[in-house]
Amino acid sequence: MHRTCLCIVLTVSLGALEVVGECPWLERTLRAEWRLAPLGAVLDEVAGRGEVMQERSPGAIQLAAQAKVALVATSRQPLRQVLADLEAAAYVHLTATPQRLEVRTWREWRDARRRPVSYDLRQYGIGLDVEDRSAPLQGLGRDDSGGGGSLFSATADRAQAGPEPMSHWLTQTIRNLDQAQREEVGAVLRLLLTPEEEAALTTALEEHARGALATTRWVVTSGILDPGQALTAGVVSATVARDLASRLHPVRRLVLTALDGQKVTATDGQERTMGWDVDIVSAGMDPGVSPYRSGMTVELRPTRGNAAIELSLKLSWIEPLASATTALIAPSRRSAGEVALTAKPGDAANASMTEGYVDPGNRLVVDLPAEWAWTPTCHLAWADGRALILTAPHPSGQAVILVEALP
Amino acid sequence: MRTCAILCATALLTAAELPTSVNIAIKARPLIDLVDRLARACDAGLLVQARVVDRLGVVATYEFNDAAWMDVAGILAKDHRLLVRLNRDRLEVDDLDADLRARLVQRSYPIRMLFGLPAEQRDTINLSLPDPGGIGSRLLPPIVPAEPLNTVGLSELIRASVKPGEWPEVTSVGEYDADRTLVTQTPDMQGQVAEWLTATERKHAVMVQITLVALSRDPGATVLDAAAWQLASAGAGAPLGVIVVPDRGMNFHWSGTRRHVLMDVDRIQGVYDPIMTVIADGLRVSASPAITVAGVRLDAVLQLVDGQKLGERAVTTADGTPLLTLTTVERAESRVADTRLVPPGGAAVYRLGERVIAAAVQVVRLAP
Repeated sequence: MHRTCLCIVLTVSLGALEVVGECPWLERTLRAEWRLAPLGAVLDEVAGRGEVMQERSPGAIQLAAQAKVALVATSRQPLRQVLADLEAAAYVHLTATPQRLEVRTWREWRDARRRPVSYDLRQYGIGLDVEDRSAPLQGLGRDDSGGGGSLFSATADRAQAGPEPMSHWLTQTIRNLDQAQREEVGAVLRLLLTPEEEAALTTALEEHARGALATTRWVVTSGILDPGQALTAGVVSATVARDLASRLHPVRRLVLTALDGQKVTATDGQERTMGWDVDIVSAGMDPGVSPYRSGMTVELRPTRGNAAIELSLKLSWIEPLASATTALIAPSRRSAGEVALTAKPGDAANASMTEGYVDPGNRLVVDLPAEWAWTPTCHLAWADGRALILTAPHPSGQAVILVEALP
Repeated sequence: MRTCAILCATALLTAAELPTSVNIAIKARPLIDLVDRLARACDAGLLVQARVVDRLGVVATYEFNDAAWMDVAGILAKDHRLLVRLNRDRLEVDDLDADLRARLVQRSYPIRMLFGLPAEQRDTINLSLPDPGGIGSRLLPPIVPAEPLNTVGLSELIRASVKPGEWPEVTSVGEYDADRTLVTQTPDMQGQVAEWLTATERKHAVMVQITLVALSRDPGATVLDAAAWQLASAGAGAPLGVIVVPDRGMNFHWSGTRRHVLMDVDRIQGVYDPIMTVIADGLRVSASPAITVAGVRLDAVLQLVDGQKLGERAVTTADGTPLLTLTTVERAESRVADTRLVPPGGAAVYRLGERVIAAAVQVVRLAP
């Protein structure tokens, strides 16, 4: 399950001799006998034999003064052939015109053919934020590993987080492409490329995208198996799983799709509010109401390996049981240290000063929920054709959770 | 006439051929002299690629007497990284690695599971009654991540395992990120690398499956071998649970009931502050298996809480005015935390109060 065939051909790819117009001088012959001869002298000899002018680019002037040529032929050959061999022997690009021989270095020729190309790397799965998904807190349980209201974390946190601006291989590839003038604006990459380089890079990026955007699909089925029925639990074949699935009731199915290494969740359940807490505020009882969620939650993170998929998953199956309530009473009381006005009996127009006031107290009914809970977790190497069956005793039979990969 | 000309031209083109033996000596001369004489020995021309032309200026001394062509080519390859080959009517000299370099591709491979699944530690709640106000039965312990894969020496291991000797300098095995490695090689070699990585991962992707079964009869042993387990488990009902865990990792099973109860009250500055708590019961098993040559070493904690009875205790003022009702709890709790060495296919047997619970241990590998 390797990702990406990064196939950018980086070897020097010379074009064939470029001929512009009618060049009968190319049919003249010459026997190459250059054994580490200076390139300048070689070019002069060829141009002289063809009786054409020679036009060297600035780079070619410099190269002609430094480079040497080792090219020997056993017989005279047309200049057309000699020039073609010279391109390989000297890394120059030659253009023949009726009157001239134009000489450029290979790099100059390549750079002249390059044109601006921009890639939105997100289209190839690079720089896309792969978001880990979390499920809300469920039941009376709590988990300290997820944080931020997460039900739980199917795996320990991964070291890397957030989008990768540009993958390592792409950086390397661009370096190999001899790209001094690249510009990265957000996820948009701007390069100067020849048509061949563009085609190769596009192919590589498309192949990368196939790996980076590949998803795996999972289905988690839960249900109750009637008491007394046979059951094989653990890692089983898909056939065993299918047989078991047909015997479960009521059946609940959660289907998830994840990118490589992404944590995804799915929930099927109910929620309601409950007054199940009390705060003491200013010497009085203040009801604390919060949501209570039950049902089935799945959280999984598949990570591709070479022989298998590393599957990390956590599940939560919560069923409310009959809940109770209890009453809390804060009795009325006189508060000391404060002053209150009390009307005098029979003299409504006047009042007397009395120390303290009477707090009427309050009565609060608090929910005491109860639940059946099962929170299995697994971390396993997942191979094709396998399924996972988890089980636990349930008040009405045997609870079963079945995990399968969808093709 | 035309046919004759074509035949002659073909003869000229194919006239060059490798000599049966090479007899050439150069003494303190540029290498170009040697390759030029090799070309003549082949009746061929010479084309030296620009990228290696500088190497032919190197002064060298060689003496070949009745040497085989392959030996001469081998020496030039070894001493100067030169590839010398006869192509039609000329001897071509190029960089030995140029061909290879042109065929190189880069591929990244996952390595997270290369030497086994990361051995994370996952534990579950403690079923013991929490201290009032505590969060004991609510809090799942955090997952303790596995140590990151130690990639020191991985590059050398791959080079030594996959066609050693076919990793010239232009190829590479390097770090891509924490979970992947980047290999630069030919497509053929990439295939070999992929095969080796797959086989290595498959070999190490070992998990332990622990199936918890309630036994109606005590077999009278703490550990059963595979045969004894077959006998003891005959007729047992559906499993109480199953734990799948990587070798040397930790995982758990728990299912049961949880209740929100008013367990305590604090009187603070004349006010009664109720303390709510979650209590849980059921069977909790935390298992850490390690595969050894003698069987599976099973470190386990089993805790069974059942027969829970809840009662009430009223809290009133001195004159009998009711304030609140505390929940009282009475239940049986049994617990075992020990280490067993379980033979392959066998089981560990635990006694928890009146119940006998077996943990059947099975090593699960990926199919070859």
